[in-house]
Amino acid sequence: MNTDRVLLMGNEAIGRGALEGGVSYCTGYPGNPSSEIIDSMFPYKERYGVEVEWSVNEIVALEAAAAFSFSGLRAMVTMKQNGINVCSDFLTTACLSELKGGLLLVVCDDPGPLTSSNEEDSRHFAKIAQIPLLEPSTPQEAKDMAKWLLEFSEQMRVICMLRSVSRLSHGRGGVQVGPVPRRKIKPCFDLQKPLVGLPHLVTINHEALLKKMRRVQEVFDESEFNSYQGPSQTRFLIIATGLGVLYALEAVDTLGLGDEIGILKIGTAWPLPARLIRKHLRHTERVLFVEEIDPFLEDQVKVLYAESRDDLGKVEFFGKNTGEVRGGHGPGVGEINTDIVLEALQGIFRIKKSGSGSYERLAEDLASKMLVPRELSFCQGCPHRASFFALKAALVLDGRKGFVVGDIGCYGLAAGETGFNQIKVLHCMGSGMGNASGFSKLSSFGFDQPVVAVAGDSTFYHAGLPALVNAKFNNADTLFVILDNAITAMTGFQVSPSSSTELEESVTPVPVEDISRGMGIKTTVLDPLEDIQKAIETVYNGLQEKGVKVIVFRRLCSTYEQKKAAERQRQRAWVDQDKCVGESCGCDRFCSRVLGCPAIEYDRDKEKAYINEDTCNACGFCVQLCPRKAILLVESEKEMGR
Amino acid sequence: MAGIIQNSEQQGGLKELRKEVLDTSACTGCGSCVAICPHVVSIEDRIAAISDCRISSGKCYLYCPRTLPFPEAECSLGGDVGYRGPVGAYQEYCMAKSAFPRDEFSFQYGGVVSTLLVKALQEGLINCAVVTRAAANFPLTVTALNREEILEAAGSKFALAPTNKEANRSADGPGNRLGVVALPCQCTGLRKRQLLEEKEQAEGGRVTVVLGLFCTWALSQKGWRSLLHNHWGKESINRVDIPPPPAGVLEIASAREKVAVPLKEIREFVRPGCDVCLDMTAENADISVGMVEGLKEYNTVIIRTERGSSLFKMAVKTGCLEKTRLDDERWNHLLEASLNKKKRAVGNAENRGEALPYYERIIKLRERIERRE
Repeated sequence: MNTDRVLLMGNEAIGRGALEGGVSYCTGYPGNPSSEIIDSMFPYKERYGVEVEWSVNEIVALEAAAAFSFSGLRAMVTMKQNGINVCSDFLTTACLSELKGGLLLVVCDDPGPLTSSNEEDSRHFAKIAQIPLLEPSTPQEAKDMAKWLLEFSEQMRVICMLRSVSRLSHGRGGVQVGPVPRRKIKPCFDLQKPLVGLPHLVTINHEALLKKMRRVQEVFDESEFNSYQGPSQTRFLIIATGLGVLYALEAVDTLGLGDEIGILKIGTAWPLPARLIRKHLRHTERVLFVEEIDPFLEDQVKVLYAESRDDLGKVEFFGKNTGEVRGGHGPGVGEINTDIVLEALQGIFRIKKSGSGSYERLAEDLASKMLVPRELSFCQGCPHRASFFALKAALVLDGRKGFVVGDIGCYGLAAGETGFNQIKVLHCMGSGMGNASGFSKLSSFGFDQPVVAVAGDSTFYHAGLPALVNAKFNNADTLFVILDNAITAMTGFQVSPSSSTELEESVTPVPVEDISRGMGIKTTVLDPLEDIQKAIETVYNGLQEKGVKVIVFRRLCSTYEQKKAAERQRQRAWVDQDKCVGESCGCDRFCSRVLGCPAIEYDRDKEKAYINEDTCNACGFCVQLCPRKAILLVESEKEMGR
Repeated sequence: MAGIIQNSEQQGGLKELRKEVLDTSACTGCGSCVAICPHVVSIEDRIAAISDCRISSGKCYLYCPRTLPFPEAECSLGGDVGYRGPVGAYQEYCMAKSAFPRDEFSFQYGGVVSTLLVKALQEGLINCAVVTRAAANFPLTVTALNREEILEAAGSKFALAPTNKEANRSADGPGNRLGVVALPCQCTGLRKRQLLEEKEQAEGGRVTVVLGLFCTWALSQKGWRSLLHNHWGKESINRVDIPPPPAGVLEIASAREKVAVPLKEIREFVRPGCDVCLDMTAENADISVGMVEGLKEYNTVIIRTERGSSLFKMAVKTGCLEKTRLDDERWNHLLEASLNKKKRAVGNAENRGEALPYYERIIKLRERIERRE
């Protein structure tokens, strides 16, 4: 299949590109929209001898990948936009070192976030670290760029970065795949070339890096990843990058302005191909920028224009800074699309709006007719439902207006109805645990609300661990609840250090309680779904005790469990409708209304609860809480009297 | 029990229970609203509603000793519900002591409660008993199924256990006939439950016999924990007692040592709901039992109901209990003490100045209490 054209998701294309670029090691930390890159590379492990693994966080991933580069092999690191913040310390120092093997950093941004707590534009880091950055527009280009960057990184001896966004990472397109090289290089670290960032070497290395970047700029001026489409002499130029290129092409085509507007596609986002852009600015009067999230190119081109003012005529710029390119929440906020470009052009060219309205609105209208509206909810059987029920009950019983601080993971949904609105503070990975450490220090100022920090297992290893040490070290009075579902569930069931070897043979589990007990922290491990009263009491007791306490709520992710158990005969919960008395019960539809489990329904015809056998995961939580004991766990359909 | 909720339109649900009791200083922590409804959770004697229930009339509200009584309760109940004389309604009073060997059991005084329960079980009047025993120096309510388990629970516990939670749980079992040892507030809750069960001819088990304990106040378990933390090690407690005035102390004793904690140090650990309680003698029990001043081997016994009377007579007839007359001086002293508790409660309710239905109701009883009708 080496020369076939295949349908690939953008993320799969990036992985394929790395493979064709001779990558030996791929790692990263899962995070939407980047996760599928590494996921898609696991099959290459055996077939091509590529080392593929998940790291506990992004900086560790980049550091580990750098070791391959330092030893002469090529490596790729993947992450979402938040991840680049985590790895930035290493990134902004390792950029000063002379690499040996190619090192590719892939960052996938989540504009108008589907699953992020910010909509950061990662491209700024290319400028901060002074590393080459490419931005693909299609899955084909994503593959080509990944491959090219690995080679280029090795040639220039500097880390190279590829930026994707959700629509590209998750969109699919035809990709011409190429051969996978068989590289037989024995890795070796050259003792004569130490890579040390000591202060007296920094200025020397920094100077060398900037020199490199000038050479990169020359290469980028000639790069095939940049192209121009349109009339040879245009007075109106669109400078676009990434998916913006496609939106611009479609908008121009829709308005029939192909003869008037030229589109300069920039694939090399940093350093700017200055010569190329100057050439196009020379005969242009007006420029519109189309790019995702921040006005990154827009700002850089304006700087370039200011520097070249004497050679260029008067140019008027349109974009996010001037407000023409804007979505519903204003310029620079949310995802862009063809409609936004259309509206910008209609405004600039004073074209009356016409046609059948925006694609977005049409799609929404159609969806509202075809789809049932659903709330954000924990999955059926999710152990987090019981964990947050226990947290709520314990905090209410405690009565001191205590609250939960949390972070990023499925359990972040507990800021909403499905988690009984328990999480009151949520920012980034591990932030709740650090926040809690600080909240406890407020007691000397009269603060008397107890605070519980929650973190998932994967998040705990990622960024919670330093906060735990900090709390212990600084004698905080803090209760940490680790929601250990043994897997990185939110991003698609990647292994975490809490995963058992039953899930993944190639990893060694590092249980949370081994860590916390090793630190002398009182640690309780229990299954929140097994005995809810015990779970409530454990949290309550934790709130009454001084010092740092850890509770590990351990239960395998129900959706993962269900996937794995699909072939086995499944248990499920079943409502004995002879026992359920519906509205007469006095529970006020506790199971279907309060628990909010997607598997529990209220049968309006019979006026009794009903559990959907296709979705129930048999967690047993409703079985424990039904006051009539009308819900039973059954093995098979036979036992339900069918 | 569908009918109760539908027929008691003027009553309240969880929303009202929270507003009038649970989230206020009036809650007794009796446990009447626990284990009947998934919206209510409890740990030790702390009880809270954790989700919103839209039902306008529910068991949680109807069973509570501190809510507006439904008509049947209003007519027949004393204690916190209504004024029926200084110690409530009764058939007779006396002193009694158990004929069981005292050395074998840690009776607080005369051992009358344990003995009556054992008797009720032996005679088949009840088939299980809800009693509160000590577990690691803390009260733990359990359902005892035999004589040994009942006797294991002998002796007073000064920290409150939400007994009615366990009673609710065990009463769920079809065919169960429960004997419950309860504090005055709990007796009121259980009596309300019984009245509703009779009215509705509910399925499931029944609370059959309620043995009430005299009570001046109870400590919260959190308070008890602080008290033990300040005054006591990990040693197992054999007996807790308040010797008669002027001692002014609470005595905690193990086999080896005894500690006297001044009562004024204990004040802050008393449940706030106790300060507004009218009921010292468990006026809504079948039989109420307390101490006799100066006679450690005896109990004061107030027999209140037909069922209580026949149980007591049977225990005496079979030689399990020895019955003696209670002298007038002691009886009058008891009436005085009981009335004083009522007066204090009314005064405290006024001083709190909260517009709670319970407070408003007991303040209206002031005149009758003072007239000592």
